[in-house]
Amino acid sequence: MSKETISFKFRNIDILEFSFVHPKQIFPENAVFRFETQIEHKVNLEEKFIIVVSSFIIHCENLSEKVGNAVVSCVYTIDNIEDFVNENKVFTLPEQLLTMFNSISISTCRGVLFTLFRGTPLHTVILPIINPVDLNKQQP
Amino acid sequence: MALNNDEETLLNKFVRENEISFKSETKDIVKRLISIGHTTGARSQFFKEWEGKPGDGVCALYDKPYSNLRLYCICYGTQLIIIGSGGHKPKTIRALQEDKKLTEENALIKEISRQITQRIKDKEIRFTPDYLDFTGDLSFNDED
Amino acid sequence: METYNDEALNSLLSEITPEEQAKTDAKMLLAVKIAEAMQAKGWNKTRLMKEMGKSNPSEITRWLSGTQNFTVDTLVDLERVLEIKLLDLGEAKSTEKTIRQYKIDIVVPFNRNEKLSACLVSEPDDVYTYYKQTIYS
Repeated sequence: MSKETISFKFRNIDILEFSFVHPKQIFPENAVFRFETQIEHKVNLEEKFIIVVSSFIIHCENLSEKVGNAVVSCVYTIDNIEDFVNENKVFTLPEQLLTMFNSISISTCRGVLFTLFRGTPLHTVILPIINPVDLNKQQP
Repeated sequence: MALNNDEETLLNKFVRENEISFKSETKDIVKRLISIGHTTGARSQFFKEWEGKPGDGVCALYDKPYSNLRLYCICYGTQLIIIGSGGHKPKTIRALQEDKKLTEENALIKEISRQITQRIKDKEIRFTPDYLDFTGDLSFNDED
Repeated sequence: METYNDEALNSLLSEITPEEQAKTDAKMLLAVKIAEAMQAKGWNKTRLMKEMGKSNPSEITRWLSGTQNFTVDTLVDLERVLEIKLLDLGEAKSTEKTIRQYKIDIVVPFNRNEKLSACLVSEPDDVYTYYKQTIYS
């Protein structure tokens, strides 16, 4: 079995959106926060980019309100991106590479979210560790 | 289509009769027919329907309120239209029935539609397998 | 196939330049796009008339006929009410194509007294999968 060499690097991180809504009441001791998360992978073949756009809407379940949101994009370049377009012009990346992009992007977003919400009541609400392999299990 | 084994089609007759007096409008009509044939299909929005009897498919290519010409057609779905003829809409009339030429052309196209429908029922005419044309006895004469 | 001697028609056809035909095609295609957007929204002509603030239904018929030479103002209004693009103004066209999407809900119980790392990944119509690591600072 031949090993595929895929050379990629981080190109940039962009904060596309950010907001924090100060809660009407202080968060209770047993507050539960829900990160409604959407991760989208986009490809730009001309520029050789893979863009992973992660959007987070943070809800406080106890107060039934949205308290924050952020959209962060992590842009990667793949040198040999054209190798992933087959003869039917369909673009497909190997699952391991998608898993790696998810892992790197989620970790990066964790740091960005911490920085964005530093100094707010969400200061200590950290995005948990997510197993990126579990994300792929969701796909049909 | 052409009648009585004429060498010219009804559309050519329409162009010939109107291109001198209404060149720009005649050209616009032909351009729209080209769009319909090559680009958009014969969508109902491009026609004024109910110009004949209910269900006979007789319609007119849309004409703006202040236009001078009317062209009659028969629509079979969005892929097949039979282009008839038509004429000048005099500004002095309020309804086509008041104009002899338009009334005659309208009657002609209604009769053609009736005959086509009858021949389809009698299996003398049928759609081609791709529904883009008719095949069969497509000869229409005054005696009919 | 029968051939006809359509001299007048052929002569007229030869006078129609590609540029002229392109203008007619554009008007017809605009009309098609508007009609299809109406159909997607389940709107009839009356509804479009009201949404556009018009009172004459024959104006809508004319828009849909393929003969209308629209003003930019009308096109911008139509874009807004029908939620479609009719004008291509060279805005930054996205050449990015979405290849994968994930939607997940991550629930974090919050306790001021200990730092928790917990990973919950919920799948649609499924119970939460929950496991917890407790890290004391």
